[in-house]
Amino acid sequence: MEQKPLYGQRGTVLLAEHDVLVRMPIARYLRECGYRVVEAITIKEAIQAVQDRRFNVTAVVASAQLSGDGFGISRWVKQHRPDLTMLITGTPKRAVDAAAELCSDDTSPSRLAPQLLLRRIRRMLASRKHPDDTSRIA
Amino acid sequence: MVVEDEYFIRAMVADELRKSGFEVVECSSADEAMDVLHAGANLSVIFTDIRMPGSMDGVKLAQIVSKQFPDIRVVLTSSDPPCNGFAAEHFIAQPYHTDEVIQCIDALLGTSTTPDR
Repeated sequence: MEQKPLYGQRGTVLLAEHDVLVRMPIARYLRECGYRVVEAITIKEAIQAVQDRRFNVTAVVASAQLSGDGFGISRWVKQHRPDLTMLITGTPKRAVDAAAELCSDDTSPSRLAPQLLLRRIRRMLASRKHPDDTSRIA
Repeated sequence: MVVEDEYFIRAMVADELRKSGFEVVECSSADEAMDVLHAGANLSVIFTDIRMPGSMDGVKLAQIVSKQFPDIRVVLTSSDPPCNGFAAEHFIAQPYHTDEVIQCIDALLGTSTTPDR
């Protein structure tokens, strides 16, 4: 039987989503899967979270409809923290093409299922090298 | 539920509460908190700032919760005590240490020795 992972054992995910009713269940699911989840509601909060070393963010999941420009956080991460894994969610079709160049991997459909998001985060984090902790991803 | 518009306060309080074993919902305004309440979230305690942007402040939120969701306990926080006629059940003055919040919630729920809350 698989043992329940400890809170934060698998790294820290910044979840930037303006809609609390979307953010709440996804954050809860990721926490149950062992991630520490830092929540942000605006692009300003998201950048603050990434810049603050106390949170030690390892991956960013941002809604394209995030308050203050959904792609702004992606551009900022790409420019200032290219070491971070970036995933954009909730993208309408026309935004998918624009987002493609900003994502580490690819975009996700609107109203993403938490299980699908988890698989994508694991896959994307696993594809990155963590010199200090190779056991970060189970 | 932690309701606070100041990002770092909200994020740090929520993170500390989670480390203490609580499941925490974060909201940046009373309006957002009402969305969560009306969605049927299973909440025990709301820890809310008084001064917040939006259509209502923390006192108004507490008043609504006490009427519509009487099983949910409300803890208010502010640099100034609530003064517009609402007698807060619990109030924590700012600035506060997160331990004060945890102790207050533990006292409300009787969970001080419970590992998972």
